[in-house]
Parts: sequence; structure tokens; C-alpha cells
Amino acid sequence: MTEQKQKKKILVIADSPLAPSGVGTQTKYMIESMLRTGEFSFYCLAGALKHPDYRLQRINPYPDDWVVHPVDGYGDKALIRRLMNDLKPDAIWFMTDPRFYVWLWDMSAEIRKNVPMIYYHVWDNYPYPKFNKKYYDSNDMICTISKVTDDIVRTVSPDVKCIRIPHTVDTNVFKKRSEDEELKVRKTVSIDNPDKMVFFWNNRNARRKQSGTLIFWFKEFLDIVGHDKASLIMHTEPKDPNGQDLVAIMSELELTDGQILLSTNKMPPEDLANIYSAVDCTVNISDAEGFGLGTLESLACETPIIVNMTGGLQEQVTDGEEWFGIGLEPCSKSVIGSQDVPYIHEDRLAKKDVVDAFLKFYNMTKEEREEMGKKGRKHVMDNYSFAKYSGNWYEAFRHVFENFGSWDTRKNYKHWSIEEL
Amino acid sequence: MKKLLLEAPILTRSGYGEHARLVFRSLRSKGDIEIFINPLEWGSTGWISEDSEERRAIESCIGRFGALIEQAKQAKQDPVFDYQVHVGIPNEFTKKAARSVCVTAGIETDRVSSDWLMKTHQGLDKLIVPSNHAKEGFIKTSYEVHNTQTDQKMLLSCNCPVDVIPYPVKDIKPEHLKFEVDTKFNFLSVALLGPRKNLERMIRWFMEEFKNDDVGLILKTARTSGSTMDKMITRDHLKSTLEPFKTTDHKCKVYLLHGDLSEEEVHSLYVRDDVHAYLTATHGEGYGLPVFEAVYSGLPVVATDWSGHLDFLSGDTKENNKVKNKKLFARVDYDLNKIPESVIWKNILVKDSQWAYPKEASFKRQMRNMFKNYGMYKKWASSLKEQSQQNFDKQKICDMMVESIFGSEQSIGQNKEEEVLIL
Repeated sequence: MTEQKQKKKILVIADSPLAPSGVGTQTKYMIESMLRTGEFSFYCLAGALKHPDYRLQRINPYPDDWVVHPVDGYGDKALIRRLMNDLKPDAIWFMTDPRFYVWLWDMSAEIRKNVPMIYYHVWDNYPYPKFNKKYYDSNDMICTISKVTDDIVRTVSPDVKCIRIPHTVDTNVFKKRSEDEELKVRKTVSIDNPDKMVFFWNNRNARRKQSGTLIFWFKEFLDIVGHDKASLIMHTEPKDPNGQDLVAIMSELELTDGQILLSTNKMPPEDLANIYSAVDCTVNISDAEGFGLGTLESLACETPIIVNMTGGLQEQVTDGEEWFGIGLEPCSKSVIGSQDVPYIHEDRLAKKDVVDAFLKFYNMTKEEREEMGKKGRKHVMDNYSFAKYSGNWYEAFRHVFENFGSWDTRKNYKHWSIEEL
Repeated sequence: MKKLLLEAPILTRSGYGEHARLVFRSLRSKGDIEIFINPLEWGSTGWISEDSEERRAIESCIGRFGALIEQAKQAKQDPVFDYQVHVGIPNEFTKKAARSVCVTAGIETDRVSSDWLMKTHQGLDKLIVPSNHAKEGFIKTSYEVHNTQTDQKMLLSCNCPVDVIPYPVKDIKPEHLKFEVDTKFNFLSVALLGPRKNLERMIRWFMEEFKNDDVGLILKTARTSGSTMDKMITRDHLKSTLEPFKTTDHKCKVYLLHGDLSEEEVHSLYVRDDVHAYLTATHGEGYGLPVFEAVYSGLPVVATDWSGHLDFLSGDTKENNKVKNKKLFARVDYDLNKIPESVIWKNILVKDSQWAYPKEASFKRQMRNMFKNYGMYKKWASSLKEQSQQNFDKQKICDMMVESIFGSEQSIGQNKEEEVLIL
């Protein structure tokens, strides 16, 4: 008879893994892949949502090993103290912007005496945020979502264990769809001209995403090639209070004759994959982007991308040798900031570069575009697949438990220091 | 069995946390009461993270309190307690039992606020404080108030007995931290950053006095907790204090010791071979727990000659065959003056209250004396250590605490009627 290994209990603090947000989705993918190993159980503080019901939820098919505890914000110190005492987790895993976790790091001395803290981190851009060092140094391990974030963490806090775990997509859903499904989408864009070139933009309508800029510049492209030659589908909320009034811009520019199409309904991933698969190109000209999941989904569907070479977008459009679309170098890197984030680059693209990229893409042959798309899918499968993502997380947790332990086996954490001032 | 509600920041790493655990230990030793604990926060101080028998007992009482509150909610009735012990500042007290006691460190200045005194007219049966200084803050303070109902002027003063119950000596086995300092003679100071502790002035005076001496100052300090963030903020703050001394050559050194130390680790600091004396330029203490720990560990002390810590810094000595009670520490002269405007804290540190301002020359002289005449001070410290072990014996203190909290059992439910002053 073999002795059953005790499951490692992970306390997760993030967006609800049942929510459709990028953070929620990646959290869910991590949890599901680790649960499949049978070696873990998860207790999730599910935040960033206004919950209709605050009762605990047990998630099938792992009711014993996956509990979701709805919370406001991301929880608080009192709750963490209660869970540390009652649940006795083996590690705390948390994700998203550091500004949300200052309270958690403030109590890190209490937590880290007994269990390691694992932070899944994204930071969009340079200069190196030295002001984050106090946060970075408060963790046992930082997992980074992009090459940019990885370089930032390793430079700012070289003593903290750092592993890059880029985001993943479900490549069984996000894949090339059948011609029939594609045709349905294209006919929605233009019943008379299904061969019209279609660009896709899937983002929150927020300032940094440059949604209004894109409409203005897309018009300049159409003015050159003809307004009946291409369309732009924008899957977003045109009246989002954090963004521009896109309907007003379309009206002002007289782009209401099929040049710009708004897709405003929430849709399941399968329907979204149909769109990615049917369109010719996905665009993201955001001036800051931690990773940019939409373009990865597009590549998984064999659709090339036009992106700003910023944040996580730049590692998607090229692997250093091959290109899976067009990467545009920013023409300006202004330094913006706030009281919490004193400085960070904002990478702006030039109008000419974007319009030229539309033209370049427009003038490529279908074969060239398809070839680019196929290589894009391979890039996703090689570097951002589920298997890779689960393997990375499994390795990260293995490293944590072997090297840092928990409770009785806690090690490699020194709870005090002395220095000459 | 009688029900007792203990409202206290019992799991926090703070003076009040320590005080609350002393009350809990005392209550447990009584044995015939059911304890319900409402665990409070204490500012932004961290919580203890150790798993111990006492922690589990505390958790069990917290669980019992939670269950009782739940039952009371279902029944739509307030829970009923026979006794209530509130550990903290009196203005946070609200009566919830037949007999109510507030255990407080009192105030570090020379007077308590009118709000605190008002609580002694609103159902508080007794105050328990750790020092005579804290007691005086209550019994010597009064305010002229205006009764709006009768249009009369009245004198508001303390309306309940105030018992002094000090902290007990702890029997802790030191666990040494592995570090070395490269200065030969070293002072130790244990305190959180904050105006009352006067750390910045103490550091400056230390640097000026020992410019040419092989002397160190080990500061076990923090802003609020042992976190990494706190360490960085604390380090930056202390470095800015030391900035003026950067340009000149100084032989003396200041060390920052930071972290979430266990009791065993903290106690090890007082008995290290390379730590010679305890140093504080405090403006005032309700008790001065780290000073007390240093004393019962046998470490000589340099301290301001005012407030709570004086209770345990005196001892009997034989001089010319006569036994005399004498202050057995390097006493720093002071001026009693108003607290700065910046530290006034509504209902707690009131305007016009005073605390001690240690005199620079005296502080420097006493540090120097400690360094030069260490043998004498060490002898005093050994004597104080021995006497404190007897005077502040744990069982004795716990018995005093129990007696003070419960008083005469017959008096429960026969308390004086609530007096309410309408101001």
C-alpha cells in the first residue's frame, strides 16, 4: 500500500476565477491545471466583483479541493489572519497590480514566518520601477507574465526568486475555425463583399487603449484604399466611462456605413474565436500593455496581428526571428505617472506608422497572410500553450515547496536583519 | 459558570497585546469562569504568528465569542456577561456586563483626557494600570465642566478605584540571534518609531557623545511591524537622522535590528555578551515594558528620570549598614513641558498636557558615566534583577490581577448606579 501524499493547500487572492477578466481567466487556468495533478487544493478569495451572494462555493468537479470565497476588494488583514489560523495554507498566491496588495505586504512578516508568498506580477514598462522594490522584496517568489516584467523584477530585486510564466490561451477553443463559421462572420460584416479586408480590435474602451485614435487613423487608411475596401470590428463598450465616446467619433467622421462595426455583446470564447478566425488581422495600438491576451488569442486562431512594440505585445508578434504580423516601434516614450506610480513610459505610436502598417498588410497576398498566421499559431503552441503554462506552474510550486517549505518545514526565510546604518 | 467578556487586542504585537495576554493568563489561572474573547486591532501593529498552547486557548475563546454572538443574533438579544474586562484605552470602553473593568496602560503624559474620566462615570467599576505614574494620571487629573441640565459648574474627576498591577517577570529561555557587531561597548534600545520615544534625538546625542569611541547603539525598532516594507521605511528614516554625521569620521556606530522577533529572541538581546546597557531618552512611559525586560534580565539602564518605568528602577541597597531605597539606574535629568502640538491626539493626548524633555547634557553625561563606570552600574543592575524577580513574580502578579478584576464576588450586580454627567 502506498502512502497518500498530503495535498498542498494554496490560498489564492485574485479576481474571481469564475469571472471573465484576464486575471480571473489566468487564475482559473492555473488552478484547473494544478488540480488535475491531484497534488493541490485551492481556497480562492475571489475579488474585484460585486458579488450577489457571499456564501462559499465549491467548484465541480473538484468540490473538495476548490473553494471560492467571494470577497469585496481582495479581502483584508483580518480575513487573512483568520484563514492563516483556520485553513493553515501552505502558500499564498496572489495576482495583479501591486497597488492592490500593499496591505498584504504590510503583514508579510506575520505570513512569511510560516508560509511563502508567491506573487504573479505584471508591470507594463520601463524605466525600472525602483519604487516597487519594497513590494518585490516582500515575496518568496515572483512569477512574471512577460519578458519585460521579468527583466524589470530581476533588475530591481535580484535577490528574489523570479520565474517567467507568460499567459496562456485555450488552444482547443482558440483555433482556426471551419470555413462555414468564418463565412458567417464575414457576411455579417458585408453581405455583398465577404472578401473585404476585416481588421479586429478587442479591448476595453479605456484611455490607454487608444480606441478613438484608432478610428481616426483607420479612416485615413480607408481614405487611401477606399471606404468599401476594409472594415474594422471593435469588440468593446463604446460608452465606457473610462474611454471615449466611440459612437460620437464614428458619427463625426461619417464612418457609419460599415467602415466601423461595433460588437457590444458579451460572448462565449467559442464565438470570439469565430471572429478571430474569420478576420484578416487583429490590431492593438495601446500605449501600455502588460500582456495583451486578445492578440495571443488571435495568433492561436492563425490570424496575424499589428501591434505596438510595447509590454507583452512585443514578444507575441515576433520570436526574434519570425514575424507573426507587424510590430510598430513607438515614436515617443513620454514618462507619465501618479502619486502611486511616480514614473513609467507611455509608448505612443505615430499615425503614419499605423496607417502604413494597415496599407502594408492590405497589400500582402492572401498566401503571405495565411503563412504568417500559421507561424503565429505555432509560436503560440511552442511558447504559450496550456501544457507549457501548467508545466511552468507545477515547476514553480515544486520549487517553492522544496526550497521554502511551510509551517514546520519553513526554510530560507530570515525574519530579522541587522545592518550598520 | 460565570461568563466573562475579554475585549482586547490580544493577538497583536503591541504593549496592549502583551497586557491582554497577561490578563488572559491571570483569568485562566482562576479556572472557574468561561472566557469569551473579542479580539481587537491595535492601530496597524502586526499580529503574533506563533502557534502555541496559549494561542490555541485564545483562539478557542474567540471561537466561543463568535458562536455566542451568532446565537444572540438569532435570538435577537444582546449576549449577557457577568464580567467584562476591556484592555485598551478607556474612551473605547462601553459597558456590557454587570461588573466592568478597564485594564489600561494609562497615559504617558501628566494627565488623562476628560473623555477617559467620563468613562469612570459611565459604568466602569475599576481601572487597572501598570504603574504609579499611570495611576496618578487618573487620580490627579480633574476638569471643570458645565452641566447643561442644571447650568452648574462641576468638577469631573475619576469616579472608580484605580489599582496598580505591574507586569510580571517572564521566565523566557533566550534564543540568540547570530550576529556580530564590531564595536566593543554597545547600548541597546527597543522601541517603535514615534515622537514619544524620542529616538531621533537619542541617536544624535549618542553620535555626538561617542564620536571618538568604539561604542555602538543597537536599535531594535520599526515603524509598525517586522515586514520588509517597514524595514525599508525605517532604514530610510534613520539614515536621514544620521545624515548630518556622514561627512565627519565617527568611530561610534548605529545598527538597525529589524524583524518579527519571538519573545525568546527579544530576551536574548538583554543577555548578550556584546550588549552592555539599555538606553532610552523617552518623553514618558505608561510602564516601559522593554526597560522592565532589560532590568529583570540584569542589564544596566540609562533612562529619563520620569514616568512609569521608575516603579521598577528603584531597589534596596545597603549604605553604611543602612538599607536605603535608591534609584539604581543612570538617571537623566529632564524638564517637564507641554507636549508638541503635532502629537495632540483627540481624547488621548490632550492639549496642555506635559511630558519630560530629557536634558541633552545630562543624557550625554549619563551615557558617558555608563561607559566609564560600567562596573558600578552592572552591580546595580544585578541587584535590581534579583529584587525584580521577587517583587514581580508571575504568580504573585496573576493573583493580584484576579483579585483586582473580581473584587468582592458579592458586589456583582450591586454596583453603584450609573452616574452620567451631561456636558
